[in-house]
Amino acid sequence: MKFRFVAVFLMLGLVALLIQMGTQREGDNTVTPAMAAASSVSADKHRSAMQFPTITPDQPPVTPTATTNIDTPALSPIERIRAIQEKTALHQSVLEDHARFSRYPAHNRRFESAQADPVLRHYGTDERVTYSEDKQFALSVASDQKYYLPSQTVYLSAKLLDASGQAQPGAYAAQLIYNETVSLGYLEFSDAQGDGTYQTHLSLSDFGNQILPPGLYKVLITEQRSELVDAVAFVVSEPVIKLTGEYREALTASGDLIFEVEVDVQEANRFYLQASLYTSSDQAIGSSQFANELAPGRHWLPLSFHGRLIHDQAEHGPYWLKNVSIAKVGVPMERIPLQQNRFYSRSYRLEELNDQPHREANKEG
Amino acid sequence: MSTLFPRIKNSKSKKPSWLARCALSLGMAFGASQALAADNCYIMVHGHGTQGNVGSNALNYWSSYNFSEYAGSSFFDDLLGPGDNYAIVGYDSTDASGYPYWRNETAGEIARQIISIKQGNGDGYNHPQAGTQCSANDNFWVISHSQGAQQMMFIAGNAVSGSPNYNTAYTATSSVSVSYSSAMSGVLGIFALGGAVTGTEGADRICNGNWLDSLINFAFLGRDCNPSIEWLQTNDVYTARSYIGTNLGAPYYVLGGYKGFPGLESASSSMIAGEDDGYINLASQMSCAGSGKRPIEEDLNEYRRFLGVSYGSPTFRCNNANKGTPRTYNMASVYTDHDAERNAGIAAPGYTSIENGITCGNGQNMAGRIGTCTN
Repeated sequence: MKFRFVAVFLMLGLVALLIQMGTQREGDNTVTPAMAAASSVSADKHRSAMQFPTITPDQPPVTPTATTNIDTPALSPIERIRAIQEKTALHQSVLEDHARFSRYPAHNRRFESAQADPVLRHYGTDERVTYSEDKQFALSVASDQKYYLPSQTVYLSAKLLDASGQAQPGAYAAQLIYNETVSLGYLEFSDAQGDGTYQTHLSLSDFGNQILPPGLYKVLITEQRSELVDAVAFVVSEPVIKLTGEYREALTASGDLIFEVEVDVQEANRFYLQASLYTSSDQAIGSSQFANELAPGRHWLPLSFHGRLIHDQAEHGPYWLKNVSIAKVGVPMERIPLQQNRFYSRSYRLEELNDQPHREANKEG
Repeated sequence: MSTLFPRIKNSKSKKPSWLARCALSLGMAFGASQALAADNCYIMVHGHGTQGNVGSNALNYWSSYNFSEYAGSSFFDDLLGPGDNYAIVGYDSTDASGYPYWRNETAGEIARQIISIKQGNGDGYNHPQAGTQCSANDNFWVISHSQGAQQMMFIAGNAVSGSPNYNTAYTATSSVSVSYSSAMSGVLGIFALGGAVTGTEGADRICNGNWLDSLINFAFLGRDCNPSIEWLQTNDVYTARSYIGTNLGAPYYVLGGYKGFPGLESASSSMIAGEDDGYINLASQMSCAGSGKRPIEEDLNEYRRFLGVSYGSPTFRCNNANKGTPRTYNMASVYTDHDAERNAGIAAPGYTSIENGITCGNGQNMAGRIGTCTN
């Protein structure tokens, strides 16, 4: 290391010159706030141009210089990393991440396939496996969903596996627990198919002659032969918001695609809307999100997809707003079951869409 | 899959010498960018079971130990090089208080302290290392351990406009506004060491009532299913990834440990699916998609198994494309346990090559890796 830095010292003039050139190139490529403003249309402007509803989105992230007393360095943090002459693999990774992150507005995220769809992932259920200490047995448990409405039925399954992965006969006891503290009763599993997969179900609208309230539930499952224990947890969501099934879309003056989703709110709260966009040939494009406080009544909620995000899939319209999720924000997060739509945009050509990266000035980090 | 055990001496030689610093300073005098002059500031977010809002508990966390093998070690010994600074974040993560990660007393408090540190206010602690308080012009990195990683995921994942809990934390009865966006602005990266990103099977066992023995040192986790433990369970409805939006306010680098605890406590690993650091499943530490207790191995792959032996091609690869959280990247899979992660008690642990791993600092412990990779 020392020899390397001695060399740097001896070649100081050249180094300084190179750094200056590098800085100059950086400056050439940097989008100034004015340029960023010119290439980006705010959500307010979208609505104004298209006479969309009056929901005010959350304020965008603020820069330290705007809200804090942080001294403004000559270079932003990310620019300082760029200026490092001998970057580590981590420095390179930080720069690559920044390039990806700043390519689109932060509410947009690109994903490559349905498997990576962030909307679907919230609803996907995981098979949970618990192993015995000697690894000779494993208990596998699962539910059919993570989020339910009070009118739905929960289906649960459990199986005991031996070391070769074969299902074995088991003896199960299961307890239903509400919000981690209240025992509501017991469930019985049975192996109706005779294949070692034991199943049960519970009707949320009629469990022991009572309607189960919204909240966080756990079914504690014990396989008595192996003494293995695990739990399946799920949320029963209060249906205080629903999608009406009405959608509309428009292209902004700057070439971004805005979908509007109508919701019907029964009770004031903060709500979270999330959706994923696909091409008409079912190729993944990306996701968008929106959150805000909503009063009772009907509202049109915006979901903006940056033009560059759509360009990066390189397929002409129409575009498919495929998976839509709405949730009542709180603890627990009460997601309404996933809605898969058949709503498409008009047949926009790629040339009509904004092809410029977003590169917000406030994303330096 | 190759596990490497290099015997690299963990020294400060990775840092520029005084001669190099002279050269760099002179370079600036010649008009070079000030980029090279910016110091690193490591913002330290501790894990579970520390009353970090009292005295020097939060500072001491990074040199405390639960196993005598690690006595006398300090995370900062292997992290800091010349010119590096750090700042301690302290909050109450005790079982007695029982605050989950989404509370104002945890996520909210951490965010407020990060903002203050970035303003150059210092952390209020007397550092054993002279001249290591951060300034406003530093390069900021956050280092979190264990439960701290869960809180950082909640903060970063609600620092972007449109996120469900954007700039919001919770009290016992309501929500409060906390500027996560300001806390994350300008942060170059978050490191999660042994992070309970998708919970820990230890919490499952406590809350499910079958934590059969006392092998685990309870400095890491209490015996009762208080709310702070409840929200460390691995079912998805408890995990931070279910409470964040589709983007993070800063990139999130995961470093996982896969060594069991020393001595009798090593038995804890037999109760955890897949590899683990004695306390947290590797799948959770690396924020893999799917269940937080999925049985991944130290190369971060999952395989078919027959009679306890893995075989064939991976059925799941926890690479950067298969993370359960956005903007999350593999950094390293290190042969170290949950205690040594935070006190750097194992100087030169082995490691396993992983897909999308970041190789700077290979052969060093987690503290040394971060120090090397950020300099």
